[in-house]
Amino acid sequence: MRRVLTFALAALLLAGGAVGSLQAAAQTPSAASGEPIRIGVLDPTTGSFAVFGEQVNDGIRLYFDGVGDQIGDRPVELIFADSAGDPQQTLEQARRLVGQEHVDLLMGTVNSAVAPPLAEFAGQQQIPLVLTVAGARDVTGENRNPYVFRTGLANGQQDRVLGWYTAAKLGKTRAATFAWDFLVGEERVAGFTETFTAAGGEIVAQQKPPLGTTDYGPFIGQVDPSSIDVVYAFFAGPGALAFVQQMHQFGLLPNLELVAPDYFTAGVLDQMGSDAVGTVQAGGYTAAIDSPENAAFKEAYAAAHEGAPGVYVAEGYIGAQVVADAIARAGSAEAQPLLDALAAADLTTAAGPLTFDDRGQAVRTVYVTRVEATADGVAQTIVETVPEVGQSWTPAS
Amino acid sequence: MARARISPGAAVVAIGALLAIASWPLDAYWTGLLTQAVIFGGAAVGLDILVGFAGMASLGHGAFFGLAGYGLALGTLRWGVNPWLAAGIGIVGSTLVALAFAPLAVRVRGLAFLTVMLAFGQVVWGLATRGGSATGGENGLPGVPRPSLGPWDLSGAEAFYLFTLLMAVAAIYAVVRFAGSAVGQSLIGVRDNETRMAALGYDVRRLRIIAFVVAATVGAVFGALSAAFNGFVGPGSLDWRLSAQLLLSVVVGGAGSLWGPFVAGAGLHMLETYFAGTTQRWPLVLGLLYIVTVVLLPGGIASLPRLWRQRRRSARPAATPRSRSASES
Amino acid sequence: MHFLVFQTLNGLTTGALLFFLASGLTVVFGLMRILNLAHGALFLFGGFVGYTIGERTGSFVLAAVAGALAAGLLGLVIQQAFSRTLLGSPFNQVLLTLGIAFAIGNVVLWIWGGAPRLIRPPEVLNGSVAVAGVFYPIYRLFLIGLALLAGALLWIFWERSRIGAVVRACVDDRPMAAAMGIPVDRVFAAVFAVGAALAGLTGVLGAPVLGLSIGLEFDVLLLAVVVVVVGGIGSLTGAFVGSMAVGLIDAFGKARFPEISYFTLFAPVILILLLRPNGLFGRAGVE
Repeated sequence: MRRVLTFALAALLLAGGAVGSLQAAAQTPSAASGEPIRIGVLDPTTGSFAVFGEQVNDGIRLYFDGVGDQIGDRPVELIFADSAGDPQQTLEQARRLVGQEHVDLLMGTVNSAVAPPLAEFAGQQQIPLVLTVAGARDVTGENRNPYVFRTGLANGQQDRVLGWYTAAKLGKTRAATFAWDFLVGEERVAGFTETFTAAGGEIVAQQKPPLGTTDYGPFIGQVDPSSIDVVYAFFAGPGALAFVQQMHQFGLLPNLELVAPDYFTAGVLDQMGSDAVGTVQAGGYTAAIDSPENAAFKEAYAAAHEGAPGVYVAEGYIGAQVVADAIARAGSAEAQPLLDALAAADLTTAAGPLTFDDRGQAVRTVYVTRVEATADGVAQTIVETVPEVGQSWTPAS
Repeated sequence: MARARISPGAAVVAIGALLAIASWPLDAYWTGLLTQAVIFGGAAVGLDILVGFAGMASLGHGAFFGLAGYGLALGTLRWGVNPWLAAGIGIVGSTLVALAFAPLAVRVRGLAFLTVMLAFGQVVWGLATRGGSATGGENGLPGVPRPSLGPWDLSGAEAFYLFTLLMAVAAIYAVVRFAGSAVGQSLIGVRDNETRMAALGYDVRRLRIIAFVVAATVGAVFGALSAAFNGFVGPGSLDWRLSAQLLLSVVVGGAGSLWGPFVAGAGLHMLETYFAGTTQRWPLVLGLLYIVTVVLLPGGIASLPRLWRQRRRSARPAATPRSRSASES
Repeated sequence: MHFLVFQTLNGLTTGALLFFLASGLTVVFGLMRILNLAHGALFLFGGFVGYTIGERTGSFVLAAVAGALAAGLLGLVIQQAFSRTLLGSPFNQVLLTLGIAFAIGNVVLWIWGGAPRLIRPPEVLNGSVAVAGVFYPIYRLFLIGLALLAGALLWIFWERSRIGAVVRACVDDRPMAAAMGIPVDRVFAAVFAVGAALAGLTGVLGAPVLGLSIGLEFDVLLLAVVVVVVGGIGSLTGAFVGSMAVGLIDAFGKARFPEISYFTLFAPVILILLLRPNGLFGRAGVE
């Protein structure tokens, strides 16, 4: 008897805290002019993606700081929450942002795994979601949810350009691919393979180390260096850092060409140092872009940080640009007008022109870059610019 | 501590109290938070059977939680069966896996058991992660639907909260009954003195297997609820971190008390959600919280009432000798 | 042949790193019955301290020394602050050391900002040499050699030296050792600190192979716990054999069946423990 009562008491205590929220529940946000627009930002700030999430947050903050936290006559409030890169926690924080913070829209996320459940959530709650980095293809695929837009590139979008460039422009046609064994790796390798083989290339070997692997010894040894002339790699952060170094230790670099999507050296280029020289990458942003929009972005970044902004900061900044532009044109942060305005987006971002296809995926310029040694380290230079790249891009289109 | 038999009347009181709570008008956020909190609290109560009663600390319990979720997700999304049937498949499937593995796992004790369960959890996690399109791999399976109960649609947040509460009451009631039963009491005997119980003719091995399977089944029930609630299941629904979280909940709550793990499982989840939304240092805050708990409250939350009574008693002159309650099993 | 040699060397490299990590864990457990789940966090902390010192001084040796010292000191602080709880119930040990692990991991993220780091091996150990027809990085061969040397030294220390005898006396019969005038408390503190220092040292030694990143602490912790339990808790020989076995299984498993590498790694572990609940070299009664 006592035990059951204790349970009941425990449950009562649990709910006790909830009562305090009744007040909050009574308030409903109004969209009157002058009312703040509340943007919930979900990026990982703990765990292995923390460093990338911080940079995306930096970019978002940087943009809104630059416009005085104001869109039209309405102030902007950013509410940040830690997704930890974990779907479960992302959902919990999304529920908090929507249910308690009453945000008008959600933006952010870095790793692909959190995107599909979050998109599902956005659809159920009928709240617009603007993905910045997470590239999971399904989210902007056939069963796309009308509440979701992605300002960053879908997995494989830049790899398609890279595959074509490697075979057609670099003239390297015998490739080994190295990518972590998870959906993102699969989607990227598939994108690369399709345009690479279409342009006459051949995939000689495919290595799939388990996700998170940083010791590539067991995999590098399985590829005969004499049978290939180029290595395609997709790893990120610590994985990419270790891979480049080990490719040198095992003697495959610098004798072979190394090609990769832009996230390969993102955030770790300085750590890679001279090991990264010669790496050819394709991506949506590089500090080397020569445009007034990028100059403004770099200037704003330099005021608060050292060095040049990386792709994660840029993707946060671009996402914020697109959101602010859509809200301004919609004249409201209500879901439907905002979604319509997003769909009609046509603006020039720090990374060049951006529009959306009919599945909510950004169509953007893709830049092919090469890492060069400079006086004070290494930097990327643009070797090819391909405009209007969609998620199913082919060289013919 | 004497374990009183639970009268049906008490159960009705408890259920009534929970329903009263559920009928309070909560906002969407609190409804969702409490739903998930009750789910973790319930799963921790299940694990307490294994940890607190049988004395077997497991770092792989999350596997049974997640397997049921995968069963529900695969059933509804891949095989197109009714959500109820799919949840049944998940829970029964998870229980069967436990039943198959239990005879092996209970051969070892202590740290070896902890490690065997850790390894088992990693194997299951590996299968989920490498399952390719079947399990959605690293991305898991989003879009798990919530069922409806006859005319009662459970897709709304409040309805599902109420349903979760009902399920939790039923599951916890069953666990409490089990704990008070002859089998539950024999488990305590085995935990405290295995040799004696064996000499008395108890089938120690069978008792351990029962505890293992009961804990797994309860975990599976809440795992299925969690998948339905989140509309999602992924490798994170069964990894070692979840297992560690459940084990920590049992210890923070006070192993063997059942209600302590419930409070800790639910409370820790709410604290984590709160801190993760307010500070980037939340793992540090939680880590310090664990440290403070273990130093100041080695018996866990469940030792609080006893400590309180003790204080009150010692405040009064010539109370019961303190040494009696100072011994902690 | 090429495959065999190459993957054996890979397995031995992983095994060498695991041995450095597991030896500290197993000695602490053998002596004090403490399963220190903060061992991985100490590994990461030592690695990052070593990284910073390495960047400042350019010396790999100084980096390794600094990493070991920093982690050892932190271990000593933990042992002194929580000596009572650490010797308490196993459940509370789990709670305490996991709490410490989460806290340290987050503080490392706070201080070093979470960007992954790499420590470069010293110049003399850079590059590759041919071993039985296989080009293999010198640094990895060095790690394998170092593990063999350390294993031998630890064994001699443990079995043949006076201090070793004192520590073993404490392991076998704590009250008796105390009665004989051995300062048991100080032995405990010293061993805990040495175990932590070994973790920190491994952080630096492993950085050229594994890198340093947030989250790595738990990956290595899981492997180290598995190695220790499989080898037999408290047994240095067990830690050595367990490390090499796990390293080799991991290397060949990943190379041959990468898609089920978790299965190939952990299924044998379950099997070994079911057949030998006390581990390969464990003594009965140790739980």
